[in-house]
Amino acid sequence: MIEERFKSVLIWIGCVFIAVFCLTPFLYMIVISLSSSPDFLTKLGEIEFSFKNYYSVLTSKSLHFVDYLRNSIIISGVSAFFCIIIAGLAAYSITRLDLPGKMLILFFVLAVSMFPQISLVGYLFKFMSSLGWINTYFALIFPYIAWILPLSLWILVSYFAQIPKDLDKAALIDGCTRWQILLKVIFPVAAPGIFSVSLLSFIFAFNEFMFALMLTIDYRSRTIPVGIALFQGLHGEIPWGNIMAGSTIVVIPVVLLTIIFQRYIIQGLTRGSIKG
Amino acid sequence: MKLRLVELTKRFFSRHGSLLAVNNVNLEINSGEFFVLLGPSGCGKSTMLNLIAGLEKPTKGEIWFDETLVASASKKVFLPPKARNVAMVFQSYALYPHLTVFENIAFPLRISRTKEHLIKESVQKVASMLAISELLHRKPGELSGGQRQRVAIARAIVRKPNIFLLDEPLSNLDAQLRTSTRGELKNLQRNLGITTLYVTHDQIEAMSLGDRIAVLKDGKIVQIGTPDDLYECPVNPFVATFVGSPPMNLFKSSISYDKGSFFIPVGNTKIKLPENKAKKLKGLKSKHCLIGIRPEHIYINPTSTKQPLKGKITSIEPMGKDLLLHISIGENEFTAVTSKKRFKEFEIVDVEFDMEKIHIFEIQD
Repeated sequence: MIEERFKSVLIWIGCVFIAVFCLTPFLYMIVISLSSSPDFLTKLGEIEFSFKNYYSVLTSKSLHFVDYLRNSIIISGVSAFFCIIIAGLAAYSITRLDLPGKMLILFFVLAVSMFPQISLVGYLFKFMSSLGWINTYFALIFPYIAWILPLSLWILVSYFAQIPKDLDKAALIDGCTRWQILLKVIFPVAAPGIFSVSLLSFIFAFNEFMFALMLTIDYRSRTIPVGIALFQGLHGEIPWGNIMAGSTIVVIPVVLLTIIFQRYIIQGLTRGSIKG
Repeated sequence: MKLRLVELTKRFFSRHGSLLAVNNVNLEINSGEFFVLLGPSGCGKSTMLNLIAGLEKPTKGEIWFDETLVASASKKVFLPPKARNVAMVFQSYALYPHLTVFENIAFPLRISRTKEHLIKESVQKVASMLAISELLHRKPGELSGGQRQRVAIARAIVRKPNIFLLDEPLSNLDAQLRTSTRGELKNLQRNLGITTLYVTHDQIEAMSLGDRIAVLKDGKIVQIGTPDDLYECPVNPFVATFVGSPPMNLFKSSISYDKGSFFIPVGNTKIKLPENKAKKLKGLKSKHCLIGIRPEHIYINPTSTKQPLKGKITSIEPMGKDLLLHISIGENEFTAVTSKKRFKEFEIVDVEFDMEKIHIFEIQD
């Protein structure tokens, strides 16, 4: 009995520790963003509550915060969209069609995704410069699609592999073409998988820093992580309050997406297609 | 619609070599017939179904629907499933989980762009035929196994297929439901008159459903016949033991010839073969045979017998109405079915073989 209780207390302590450990920076971020003091390391007692930072981040033209946010959402959205389409088609052919060496393709894709970003960025810069794409959305969308694709493909392949092959056969016999099977059966049945992969792709692109740092120059295409990192006051000082307010706002779309799609991710849609 | 298979062969290739799943099968199934493919797992019966449905291409041979050639390896003809108008019910049911029962049944009609009011009409008609009208708005996940089964059948018959293919459709149901569904399926097929091909490994299902049955082994047809044919005259020991429950007793024996009569030794006794059985033995090349006798043709403690056979009961299995006795005679083991009661284990009983009902299979040297 005592041992049981001891165990559960230990588990609780562990959980609380992890939660505090992970969430304290966020808490600190929110506290600083709501304080009117321009300094980062003020004593907690001296903090004055104000929305000044939020106001300046959202309205100040020179910070370009809204531009960065718009760029980020467009670039991440477009990348995630194409990523899902390409990965969906690839996963369908790998799980369903009789392709020679399809496992080889999968492992090759995985191997490619292992390259560290830094090893690609120099080449990418040269490439995008010669195309004249530096500081455009394309300069980021294309590398992002390629960079996120392996992860999406692997998740979708494992998801599609779980969908019983009898469904394809039934659809074929019911008169579907391969395209119709994909659109009318596989995609809807795999909806939870598709949603979670879209979400992951979006977040990956949204958080990406290095490509965005190297391939963009100013507010016309710069994304939010780089934007916030390069926030600078007029005289070169670091505006901690603005940075924290910006970061807090940026967290919102990601958290919102997660909350909205959570339902779909958890919902077991394949339930009931076969016995059991 | 009449279905004809000519020298149908399917070979699968993999890294580990090739596998002959269907081996030179010739078969003719009459219009409106309920035909059963019976065989143990891995005998190629499902592959045959896939070939007929158009899910697989034959390696050799032809498939004809009436006078239409739907698949031929040599003439490079292959109609996709869409063009064959076949319907199939799968062991796993394969219902679309994201669609309601109504949409599941309507699916093949929607794909063929049927008019909305016709879809509604046909779906409601088959739904009432299968007593699932109340379930039309539900999702497959909310249905029981038996209900899913009905939806799968409804989806198959809604577009009036040329040929109705069923791949072990009852094996996921519990025993009681299986028996009742079996009866309904047979009635349904009679009423619709659709040529039906039914695959199963369960000989009871095959016997009760089939107008004719083909027994398959290793991709080859071993015997085709009515259920009675298979039961009364199995062509070889495989069919003999596969059809009938409990299975036929088989034992090795060497037939001896003495004073114009044939005898088979059982234990210490020699039993005389009746004239009509003996006649067939004239052409026998080898004296070594497999003798088969069904459990219901072994009589225990008969009132009078000419065969003084004694056997020892080794174990007893009560089956409700009957008893299943395991009896050893000499070094041979037999099972016998009897409606008599009150036997004890290790009891010595009188045994009589119904010699008119025995089967003799030649052993190839």
